[in-house]
Amino acid sequence: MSSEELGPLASRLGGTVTAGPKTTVLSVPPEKVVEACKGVSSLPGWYHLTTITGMDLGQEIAILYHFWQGKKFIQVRTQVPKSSPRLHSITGDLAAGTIYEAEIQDVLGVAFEGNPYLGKRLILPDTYPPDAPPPLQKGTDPHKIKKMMELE
Amino acid sequence: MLVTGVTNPMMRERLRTVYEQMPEPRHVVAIGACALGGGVMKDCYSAGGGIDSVIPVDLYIPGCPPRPEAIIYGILKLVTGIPDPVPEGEAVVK
Amino acid sequence: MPFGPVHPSLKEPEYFKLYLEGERIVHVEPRIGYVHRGIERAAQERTWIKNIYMFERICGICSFHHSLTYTEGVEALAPFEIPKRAKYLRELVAELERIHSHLLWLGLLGHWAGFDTLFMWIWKDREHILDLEEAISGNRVNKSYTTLGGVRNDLPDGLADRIRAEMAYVEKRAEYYKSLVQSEETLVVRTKGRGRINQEIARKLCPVGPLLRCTGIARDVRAEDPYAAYGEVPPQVQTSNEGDIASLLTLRLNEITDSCRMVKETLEKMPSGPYRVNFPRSVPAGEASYHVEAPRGELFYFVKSGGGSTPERVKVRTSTLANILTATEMLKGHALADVPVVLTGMDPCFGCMDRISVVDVDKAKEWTVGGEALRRYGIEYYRRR
Repeated sequence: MSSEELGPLASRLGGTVTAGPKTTVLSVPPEKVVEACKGVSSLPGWYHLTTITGMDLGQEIAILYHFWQGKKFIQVRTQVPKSSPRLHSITGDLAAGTIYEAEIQDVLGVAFEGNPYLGKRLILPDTYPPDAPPPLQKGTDPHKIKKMMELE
Repeated sequence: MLVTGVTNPMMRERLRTVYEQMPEPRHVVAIGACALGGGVMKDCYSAGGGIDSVIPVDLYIPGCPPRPEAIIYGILKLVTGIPDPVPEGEAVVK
Repeated sequence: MPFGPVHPSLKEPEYFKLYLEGERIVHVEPRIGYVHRGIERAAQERTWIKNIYMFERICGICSFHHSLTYTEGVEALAPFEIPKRAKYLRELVAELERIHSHLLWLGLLGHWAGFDTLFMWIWKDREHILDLEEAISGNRVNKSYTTLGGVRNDLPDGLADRIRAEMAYVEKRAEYYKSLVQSEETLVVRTKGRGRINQEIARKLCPVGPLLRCTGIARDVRAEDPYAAYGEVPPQVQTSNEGDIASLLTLRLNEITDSCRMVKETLEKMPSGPYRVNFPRSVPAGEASYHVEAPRGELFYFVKSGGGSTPERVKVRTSTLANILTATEMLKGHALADVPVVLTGMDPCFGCMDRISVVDVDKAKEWTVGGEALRRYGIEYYRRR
């Protein structure tokens, strides 16, 4: 049922729908992500924003918005280049995303324009070295980070 | 002072401050594997080693978590083992 | 106001910046990260099995639910079917954990409201559950009971009768506490009408668990997306329409009673057979989203495998993280004295605040107050009224 609901939304935004056993993925280009999330959350039934996940894919960082309605997960998915990791925040329309975006800002270095925590730390310690790469990016060595924070 | 958990960078300074604010005689008890030496999170990027890298520790109680009986046993050992700082009949001037 | 001592035992520090106008809170800014350890990053360097032992130590109260979500999520990735008996055993221990968690919370709420006797009584009752958990798995807290492919050991002989006896005891106590929380003045005064939220706020800020259900929205992962054996032993989803802390008291007590019923039912219906099967060392490539209903609400794991013996990415979204925004909304309009009870009402897994920063907007003053000082301030405030 979810795939049919998403079909018109996907074609309007230039995205694709991939149905899985438990999750239906709606992939969209980064500039359409706010509209996609708004579209999903206004589908019939209440689409609960479960969380937002960030993943380092190498050259890009994938951002996954997980919605749960009661039967299946709908995942809005997009990618931003690691060289310029920025996205528009969904908090203007979906305030529930505030904390989840802030977490990704801290651990992956993606900037969500419009998020109240932009420029501020939510979970990383204040002493996290400013010139060190974000901890969840590939290639970041946790031991080096610990040495820089004088934990080793 | 009873301390559990890892020494996260945000907590290290506070731990030190609280320790320095404690009036003498003061004793520190490290409870649980994380407070002892980092425990299972030892190599996580934001978890320091045991709390004895921040403040001096008088008693270590291992376990993950230590059973209540272990904690009671340890603290009793500490408390009954503390020598009386002022011997009877004498005044100690520092 | 003195700086609070760091609270040991189950409480993890948290920092809220409260903006006051006169006596009322107008804005709240949370700053967490006091126990941020870097677990998601470390998970990428541990084998699938070793990660269980790390994830279950994210939280000492809902420890089993963390390992449950993780193991079932990885099993879903494989995909891998575990024996039926293992599913029933997982549900049994999960419900025991729910009972102990709710009892813990209730006792803590009593403590923060100044009702220490209740705290002592409830935690004494809770010991019965912890002893059961130790009898089943060997540890009161970090049970490491679930494993990839099933559970680590079967129920010891004769324990089933003891479990039934303890459930009867807990049900009786839960009934007593239900009448107590509705009649005891200390609690009623401090919880009735406090921290009120409604469905509109819930839909906007997406809280989970009892906090969501107290607004009347009947969402429970055990019912909607059954895992373990919940398809065959489902919960009776408890809701309330009041949306305040007082309703949360009754709601969680009702959940305790329902959990006792489910424990007895799992024992009755438990199939015989193996409790564990071998699980391969490496997991095929793929992604899985998995969630369970932890005592505090929906606990979500996203697992990605690259086909190797360690995960490529594990993302954890704890229930309390989902409730922070709602908690800040709950605090608005309250006096400083209400903060301990309202904050505890959301059942924060990272425990109570170690330090709160208070900003007086009118007088443009900012000062810091410790948790213990605030608790005593709250008790005194209500004693004087």
